[in-house]
Amino acid sequence: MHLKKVISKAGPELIQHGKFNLAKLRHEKDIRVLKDKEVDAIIVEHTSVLQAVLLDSALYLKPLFVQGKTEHNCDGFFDPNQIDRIIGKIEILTKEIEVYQNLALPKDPNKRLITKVIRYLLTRKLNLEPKNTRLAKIGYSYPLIEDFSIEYDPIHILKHLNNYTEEGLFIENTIDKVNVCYECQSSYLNFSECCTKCNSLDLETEELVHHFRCAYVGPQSDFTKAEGMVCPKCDHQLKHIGIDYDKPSEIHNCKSCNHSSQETKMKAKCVDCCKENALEQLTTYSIHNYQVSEKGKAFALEHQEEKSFGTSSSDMENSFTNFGVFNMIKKHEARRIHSNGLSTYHIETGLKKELLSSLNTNLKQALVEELTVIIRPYLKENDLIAIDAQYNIHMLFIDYTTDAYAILLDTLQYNLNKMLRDNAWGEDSIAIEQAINLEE
Amino acid sequence: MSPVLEYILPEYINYWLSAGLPKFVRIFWYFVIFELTRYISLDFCIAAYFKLFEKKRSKEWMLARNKLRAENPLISIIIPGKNEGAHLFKLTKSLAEQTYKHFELIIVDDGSNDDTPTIGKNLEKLGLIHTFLRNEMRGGKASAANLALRFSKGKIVVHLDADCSFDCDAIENIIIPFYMDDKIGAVGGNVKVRNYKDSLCAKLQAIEYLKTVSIGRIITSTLGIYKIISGAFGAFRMDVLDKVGGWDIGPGLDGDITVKIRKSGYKTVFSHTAVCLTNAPSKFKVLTKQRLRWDKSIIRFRVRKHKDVYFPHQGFSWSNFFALFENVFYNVVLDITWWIYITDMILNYSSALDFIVYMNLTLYFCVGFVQMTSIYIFSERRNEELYLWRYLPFMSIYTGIYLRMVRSRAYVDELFFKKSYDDPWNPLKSSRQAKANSF
Ligand SMILES: [Zn+2]
Ligand SMILES: [Zn+2]
Ligand SMILES: [Zn+2]
Repeated sequence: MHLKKVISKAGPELIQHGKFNLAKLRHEKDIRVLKDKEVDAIIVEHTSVLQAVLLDSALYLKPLFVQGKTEHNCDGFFDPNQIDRIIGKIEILTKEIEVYQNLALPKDPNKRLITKVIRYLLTRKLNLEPKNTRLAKIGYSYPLIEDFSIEYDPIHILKHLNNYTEEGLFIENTIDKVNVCYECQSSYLNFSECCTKCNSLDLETEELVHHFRCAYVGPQSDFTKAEGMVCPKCDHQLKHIGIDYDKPSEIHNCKSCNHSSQETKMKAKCVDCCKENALEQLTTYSIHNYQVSEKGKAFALEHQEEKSFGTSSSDMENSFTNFGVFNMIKKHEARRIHSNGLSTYHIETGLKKELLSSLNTNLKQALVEELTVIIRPYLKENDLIAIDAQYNIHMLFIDYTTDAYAILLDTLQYNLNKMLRDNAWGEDSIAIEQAINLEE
Repeated sequence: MSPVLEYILPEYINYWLSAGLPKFVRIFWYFVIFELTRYISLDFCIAAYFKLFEKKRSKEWMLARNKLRAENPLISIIIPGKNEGAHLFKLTKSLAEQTYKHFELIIVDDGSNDDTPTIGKNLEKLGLIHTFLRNEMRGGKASAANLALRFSKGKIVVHLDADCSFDCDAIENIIIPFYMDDKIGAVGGNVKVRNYKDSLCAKLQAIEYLKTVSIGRIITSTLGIYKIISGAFGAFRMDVLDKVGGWDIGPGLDGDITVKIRKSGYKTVFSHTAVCLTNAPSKFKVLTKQRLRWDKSIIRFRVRKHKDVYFPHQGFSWSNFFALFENVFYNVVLDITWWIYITDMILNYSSALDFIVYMNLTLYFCVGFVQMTSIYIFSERRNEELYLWRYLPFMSIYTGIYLRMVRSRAYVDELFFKKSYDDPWNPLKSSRQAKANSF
């Protein structure tokens, strides 16, 4: 067994095993280094790195192993002493992913996500399975999609999965239905019966008793005497159910408003936001597991490049940092101790809602990319730029002085607004939503 | 000329002209003694009395109405029934039109096996019904009424049938009498036939209802011997119902509760302006079944259960005696007497039977018209009812023969076989208890 370790000082540890190149990543940043290297499989030590790999559009399909335990999606666990064990798997997966390797991904974040998920499911021969979890607001999550998403909104995901199923990409199989709070979409609900008239919970439920002999009917308490059950109308003792009496139904008495009714109203109080939902107010979602259909398979193979004006998409794609990776680096930067007088700044720009809602997906993407063209000249080599699902542009300016940063911010704001104004998008269509010094 | 006019008719007239008055009375003793007194003399005396005091009565009425309006008490309208869901929405609409507004509506569904529960629950949700109560197991009409009573909060309880509709002042007019006299414990409404255009059967019942319900009850009420408050439309004082323990096992529980109320010292009166329309059976087969049930209950309750009113005892009351006696007399005794009359005729006048039958029909026919005149005097919708006049000729066969046959059959069944306890109208569990305790 020839095991050759190539230790590079900064970045991933590369392991060559037979014809396969394995990369062991310790840090999210290692992914960037990996970009121009040929790797056949990836090993990660932390789940945070695992997610960064899945988010990466070049690496997401690669055989992925975790050193240690994880609940996340991976192709197996890595033991440095038993590398042979995973080689078989790497061999199979390498073949499986081959067809997708050189296919581009759609620009639209939702479509991009689903393409990645479908390809992953197909290469792993999996169905998309929901997991019952108290941690998810609706009580269910799709761990795979969660790992593939930057921001995971379960309702949003369910809606998209439904749409894609309608398009025929999936065959669904219902496994549960969840009711969620009208206000906050939480499934953590407390159900209780209350008075139909005044909504009070203070109900007393009693059985009705019918005395055959004299046809008196009343709640059980009418009949309760020290010596047993005695009819208030005819004073006879009730001894034998079915012979002397029966219990034809029950009744609820409201202690708050004195209303008697056989009906109660079900109320579902949301534990998360305290809203009292009437049953008909609750939103019901069906939870399915999804199998990729034949159409879904064809979809995964499509060359999904979308036209955008100006720049070619492949150029553009490479020049953006994946937003998930961006966040990780941002977190890392916040913890890093900077040299004297220097700080890292996070700037977020937002387009006006009215402007965004008037554009379709392609146009939104195009506009944002055009804006980044203006921003790009001001970025230094280490600075990052990313776009999130809401088309906000995020920039990370690493190691700037306060003065340099102030000038930069001013210039950016001026240029962006000028561009929008000149192209008739409207004055003040863009705003700096956030500009923070990460050290503070 | 036809032979009828040429020979038979003159012979027929000659026969009766030559017979003379004593023989006429001898042959038609039944008609002269019972029918003539009751329907002719009594009706017109009361009508005269009624007209004579009309001013005084209407003044008292207005006073009572003002008293009622000033107090505006809560009225509980209760409607016990089985499979009545289809009528409920129409009924709530009919009640929404009432001049008297302060009422709660309580519906009891006695083990319906149709979509009544769904309809009822929906109406309750919509707020058209105050309380909808359902017994999963059928308990019989009395228990359903008692259940409604148990959850009634009103000062007066109005008992209705679900398939009735009401004049817009009906509820007000049925509760006004309570404000005329403290001793009044229950008031009966004026039930008329709504579907009289459906069939001959319904038309004849419409006329019969006008005679017995509208006129008959004005008379018994005026005489203070009114004894049957119709379940279709009756009002009861809550405290009085509590005192008598509500309804007992039927059939015939309407009459029964009236007697119970009378026996506990309260008056019962008829309010002829509280008009309620109901659907009568439009087929003779259904009608026969209904009447067999009603007639059996006369034996069961008037003769058997409440027989104490006929004998001197503590709390004996002549008006109660007469109230029940009148009922039993005009139904049971007259029915028996009629058979005696038939036997008498067959034994003694067999040769002239054809003349006698025709003359009897003629007499009943004439009396029918006279009676219709008294109805015309009392009725508040006399012009509509003119329509019915042309069906009067059938009445002598309807009341004279058909109803008598049904009645006789019911009396024999009940007197000798206590058949009413086998009536599926009550659930078996209740009937068994009632029979064992001989209610
Ligand atoms: Zn309440
Ligand atoms: Zn009892
Ligand atoms: Zn909530």
